[in-house]
Amino acid sequence: MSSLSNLLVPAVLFFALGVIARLIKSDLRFPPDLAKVLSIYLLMSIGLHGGYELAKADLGTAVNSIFWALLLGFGLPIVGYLALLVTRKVNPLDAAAISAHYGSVSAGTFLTAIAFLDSSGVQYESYPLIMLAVMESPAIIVGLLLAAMARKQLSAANNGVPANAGIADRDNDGSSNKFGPLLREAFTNGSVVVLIGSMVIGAISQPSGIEKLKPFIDEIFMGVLCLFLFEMGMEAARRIKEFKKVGVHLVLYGMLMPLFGGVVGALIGHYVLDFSVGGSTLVAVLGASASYIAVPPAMRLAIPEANPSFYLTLSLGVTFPFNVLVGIPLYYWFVQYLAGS
Amino acid sequence: MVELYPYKLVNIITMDALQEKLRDMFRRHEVSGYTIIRVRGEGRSGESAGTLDFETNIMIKVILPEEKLQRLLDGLQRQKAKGYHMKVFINDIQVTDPDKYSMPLQ
Repeated sequence: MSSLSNLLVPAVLFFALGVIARLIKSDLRFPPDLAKVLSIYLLMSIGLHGGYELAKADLGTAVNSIFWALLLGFGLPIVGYLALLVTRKVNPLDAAAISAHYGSVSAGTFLTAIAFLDSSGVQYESYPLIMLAVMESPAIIVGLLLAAMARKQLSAANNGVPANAGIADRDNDGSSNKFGPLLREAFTNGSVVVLIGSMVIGAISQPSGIEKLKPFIDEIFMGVLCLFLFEMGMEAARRIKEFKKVGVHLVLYGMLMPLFGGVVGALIGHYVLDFSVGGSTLVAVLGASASYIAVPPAMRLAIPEANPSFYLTLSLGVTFPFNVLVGIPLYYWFVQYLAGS
Repeated sequence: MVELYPYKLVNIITMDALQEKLRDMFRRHEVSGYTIIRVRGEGRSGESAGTLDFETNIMIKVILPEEKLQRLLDGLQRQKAKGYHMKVFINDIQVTDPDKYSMPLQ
C-alpha cells in the first residue's frame, strides 16, 4: 500500500478535512465534550474487542509484550530528554515535560493505524493493544523523576535556593504535594481505566454477549473514528500558529523523535516479539506516537514550571499529524522491508 | 426591608486539573462552599478551548467574610509561585444570609 493510498483512508481524509476547515477559518464547531465522549467510546470498543481476542491468546507472548511495552515506555522518554538537552533549546524542566509525552502513546494514532491496516486487508495480532494500555503510564513516572532531577540541578545552580516549590516538597499551608498522588493519577487516569476495564470485561464475558455488542463495537467503530479524527484535525491545525513560538528545532524534534521511536518499535515488533507485518507496524506506531490525552494534564499538574505551549504544540500540532499523514505508511513500509530482508 | 451584609467574592480562573488541589485548600481554609463553572478563553498562556481535558479551564467562585480573605489569597499565591497558571480577582458583594457563609465545609 503506497503512501498516497494511506491518504485515501476515510479516517485520514476526515483528519485532513478538519485541518482544512480550521485553515480556511470555517465556522464549523463541534459540540463541547464531543471529543471526550468519542475517545471514551473508541477506547471502550477497542478494549472490549482486544480483551475478547486476548482471552484466546498465548500467555507467554502477552507477558513478553508487556515487558517490552514497559521497556519502551520507560526508555523512550529518557532518550527524548537527553536529545532535548543536547539541542539546548529548552530548559531541563521543559525537556522533562516534553519527553514524557513521547514515552506515552496516542490511542488516536494507534486507531488510525488500525484503520490503515484494515483498509488494506493486513492482519495484526491483538497483543499491541495490551501494550497500548501498559504504555499510557510509565512515561509519566519518568517525566516526574526527570523533573525532580532537573529541579535539584537548578537548585544547586542557584546555590541551594529551591527552583520553585517542587513536586516532592510540602506546601507551606500544609497540603501534601508528594509523588504519591501524582503516581496514583498516572495509573488511574481515565484512558487507562476505560481501556483496561473494557479489556477485562471483553476477556471474561460470554462470547454470545460480545456477539450482541458487535453493532456497537464493530459496525459503527470506523464512523466514530472518522468523527473523532475530524475534530482532532481541527485541534491540530489550531496549534499551527504556535509553531513560531516553539521554533524550528523543536518542530524538527517533533518529527525526528517519532521516527526514532517508530524504528525501535518496528525492530522490537519484528525481531523480538516475532509479530506479523501488521502487528509490528502497530508496535512501531506505539513507539512513534506521543500522548495528547493522558500526559498533558499530568504534566500541567506535576511540572507547572514547564511551558504547555511546547509540549502541546509538539504532541498534537506536529507529531500527531506527522504520524497520521506520513509516519504510519512509513513504519508499515519499514516493517515490510524488515520482513522481506 | 432585607438587611445586606458586606462580603468578598473570590473568582479564580485556572485549569481543570487543579480542581482537586484547590478544593482541598478551601476545606483547610474553612470556606463555606464554592461554585465551579467551565469556561473558555484566550490569554497569555494561549487558547483554552475546552475540547480536551488538558485545555479545559474552570472558574471557581468563593464567597467569604473579609477576615478569611487574606489567608486564602496567601494560599493561592503559593500555588501561583510554583508556576500554576491562575487568575484571581475579588469583588465586594453584599449577601442576605451571612450565616450561610460562616459554616465551614464538612
